[in-house]
Amino acid sequence: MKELMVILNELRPEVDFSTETNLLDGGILDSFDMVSLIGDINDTFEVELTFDDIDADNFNSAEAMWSMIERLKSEG
Amino acid sequence: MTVNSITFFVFLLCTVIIYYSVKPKHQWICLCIASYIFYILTGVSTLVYIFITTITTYIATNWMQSVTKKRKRKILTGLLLLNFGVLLVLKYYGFMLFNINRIAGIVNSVRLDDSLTFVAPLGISYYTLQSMGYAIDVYKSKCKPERNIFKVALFVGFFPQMTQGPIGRFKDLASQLYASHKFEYRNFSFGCQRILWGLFKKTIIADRLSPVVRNIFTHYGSYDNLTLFLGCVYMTIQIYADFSGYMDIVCGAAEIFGIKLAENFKTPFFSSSLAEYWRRWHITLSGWFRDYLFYPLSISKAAVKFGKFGKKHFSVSIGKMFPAIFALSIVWFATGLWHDASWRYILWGVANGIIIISSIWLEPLFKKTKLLFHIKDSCKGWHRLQVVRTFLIVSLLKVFPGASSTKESLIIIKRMITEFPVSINYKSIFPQLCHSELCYLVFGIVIFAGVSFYQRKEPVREYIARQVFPVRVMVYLGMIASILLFGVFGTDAVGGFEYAQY
Amino acid sequence: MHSIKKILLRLIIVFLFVLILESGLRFIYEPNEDYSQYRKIELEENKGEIEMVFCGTSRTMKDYNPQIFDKKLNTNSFNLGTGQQPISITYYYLKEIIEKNPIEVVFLEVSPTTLCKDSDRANDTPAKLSVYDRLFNWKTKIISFFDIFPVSEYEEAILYSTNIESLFDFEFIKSNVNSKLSNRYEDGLKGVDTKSYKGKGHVSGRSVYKGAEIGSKYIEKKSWEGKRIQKKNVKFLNKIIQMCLREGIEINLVTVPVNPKLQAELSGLDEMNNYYLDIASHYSIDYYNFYNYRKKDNVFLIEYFSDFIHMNEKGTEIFSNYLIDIYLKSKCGEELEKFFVL
Repeated sequence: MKELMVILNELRPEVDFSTETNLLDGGILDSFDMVSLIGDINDTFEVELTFDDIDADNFNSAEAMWSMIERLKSEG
Repeated sequence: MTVNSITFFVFLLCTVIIYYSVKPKHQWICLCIASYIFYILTGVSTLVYIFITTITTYIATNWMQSVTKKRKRKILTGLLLLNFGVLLVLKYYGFMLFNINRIAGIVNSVRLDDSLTFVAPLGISYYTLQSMGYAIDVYKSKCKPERNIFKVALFVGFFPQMTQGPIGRFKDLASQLYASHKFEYRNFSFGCQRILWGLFKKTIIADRLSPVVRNIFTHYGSYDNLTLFLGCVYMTIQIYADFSGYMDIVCGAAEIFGIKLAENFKTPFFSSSLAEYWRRWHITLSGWFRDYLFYPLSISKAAVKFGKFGKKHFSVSIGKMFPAIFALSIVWFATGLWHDASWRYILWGVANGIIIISSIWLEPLFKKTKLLFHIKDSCKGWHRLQVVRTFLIVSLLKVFPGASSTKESLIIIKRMITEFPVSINYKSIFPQLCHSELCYLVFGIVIFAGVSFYQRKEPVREYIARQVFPVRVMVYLGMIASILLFGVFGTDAVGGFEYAQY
Repeated sequence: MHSIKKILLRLIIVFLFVLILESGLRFIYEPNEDYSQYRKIELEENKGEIEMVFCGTSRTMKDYNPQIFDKKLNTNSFNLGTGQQPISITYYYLKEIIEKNPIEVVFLEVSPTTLCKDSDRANDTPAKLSVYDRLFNWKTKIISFFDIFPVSEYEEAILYSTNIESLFDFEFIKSNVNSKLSNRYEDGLKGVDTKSYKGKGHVSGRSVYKGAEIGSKYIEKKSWEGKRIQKKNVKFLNKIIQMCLREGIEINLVTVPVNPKLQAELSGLDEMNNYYLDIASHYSIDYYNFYNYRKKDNVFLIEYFSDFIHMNEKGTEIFSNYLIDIYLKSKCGEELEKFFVL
């Protein structure tokens, strides 16, 4: 989780990722942020995000992102 | 029948009365029947294509429910190929043949038979995207497929959206379409107000500027570069008033049924960059391309490879942007092509793409330059400059859709850059507009701009609803009077009592 | 229920507002000193007394002089011709006049273009409105609306009276409002303003055709071509004739003279002659085809025309007198073949 927060804060330092729950739907993360974020997540956590995973449910908050990462890691 | 015609309003009125008279659980049936009657009344030559989309979408989405993931993928691929294939052939067959013949003509004198032509049915570009979006959402298990084929038919063909969108998402739209709605005075009132506002924009601003813009681009040879540039600006205003006015009319119409359609515009000319502009202009289209084309492309194997290439040969930070750049190039090519089957639209899409991609690429350089000149992003003056710059870029890009052919658009660009204005007078600034017409136009634009400024705070309708009855009455009667007095009805319409000379 | 009351109240407010707005604009902007206004007033003054009418386009309006007919035939005639009047509206116009007057004789204009496209202009709504607006009671207005205007003209036909082209023409507004408040039009009616309006619907001028060249497109438009006939217009021609016969009114079909220079270039005139002769004989009525008038070369000289298709003051006098002469002789039993090449 800490590593994820580092990535997020580096990407958009002005956003408070610990409280924000409307990141994707609210347009706080735009499409370029998303591409960059997905690339970083894939590299850092050695998972492979697919198109199916790109969803507001998975990206609206840091917690949601972390749950998704843990799920993908356990699925191997 | 267009949505700013009396026949449409009579049709809408009848549909509303029937809708609120039938049993609540039958309301969606009423909408479905009305939608297809509307489709026929617009003069469409055949219902075959929309039925193909409806039936194949219904079958595919329900079939996907009980199969393996691999099978799901195959079903979805088949559905997409079929529907986009139909769209491609109907809309782009002539264009593709034209280009094949051109290339073949250079190589040898072979020429394919181009006597076969297709007419793309009304709304096919819109309902295809909307239906395929639904199918992809079902594939991703984002929503459950609809089991009633007539309900699917309603989703595909809902009449306010038929001609120009907005392109809806199943998750948001379907529940509203199929639910029963009790008559709410507020929905009716706000819906009518919104329709009135749309008519105001369309008849006073858009339809008045339309012949001016047409004239400038058709007779570009006889105008100097100042007028050509102004033609681009007028076209920007005209299309904005036209498209957003149209959206107001259809959203207002849907609101009367208690259905909230997605917004297509969010004061786009307050954007400070072209990328932001495209998040505020034709939002449902750019959103569709983002969610269903940009994301899958940017995380595809090809994009990842491209990203690795970028990281290797450039810096890591630039390399990170490469998948986005790869996806953007394709998305902008597709966006241009979606608008029209012509090279000038493709050029337009590519031009947009190049500007957006360059701004990503050059972002580090911009940051350094801003630091050097002590320009803060939060500074109001800088923001205003960015807004004006964005408006100018958007206007200049209109030269591609404005001209009648690719060659002409390039000639116009050349003239705009290389020539000096010959004369600056009323005729060169406002060609084809007499003084009184200019007054009506300025009046319309001032009101439009004022409302746009206010809307950033809260919807104007809410503000007006809070006023006392006489004030509200005056506002609405004022709008009606403006439309009657200053609106343009019909392309060849002659105003007032000209018939006295007969 | 409460909502329905709210909606109804607002609808009534809007309706009243539009009515007041429209009346106000009409008062300010509708030209008062104009022959369409004079015509309207004279029709009203002669209501219940008109016995003979001339129906058709501007060619009728300019070629028939009612004063001559009144004098020589001892009747009360009126000229109902208006610019580019389509035959669909002639039917409803005539119907209303017949309802209010003891009409005995009708002269109906038929020409190469009567049954073709409604008019030469892409948008002929003003031509239709000049009659539709002026002289209809509400019942006829509603019944005839869909017959006269196609779907593409609905908005213009309904909204024309509030869509003024030059709202800020203050000179015109001042003089028009003054004129309405002081009833100045009466001068025009009495013939003080005799530039063009001659009374009882007749308009005429003194200018003479100066020999301008006729374009080939114009010749094509004014020629007869069976392919261009529209079923709707044929329907209205039949309706007019049937209505007259039903009411015991004598109806005569007339093709008024045309500039000899133009006539020499026109094609299909024999087909036209046969076509209208067939209709006339089917209903046992008379057809006067002045394109085939035996003495036309000596009588309807080129200097009696103001342009390609309209006669001037002098020409009108000659035509009216000749028509009356032929009409009286034919009523006495002389064959039309004596006057026209059939």
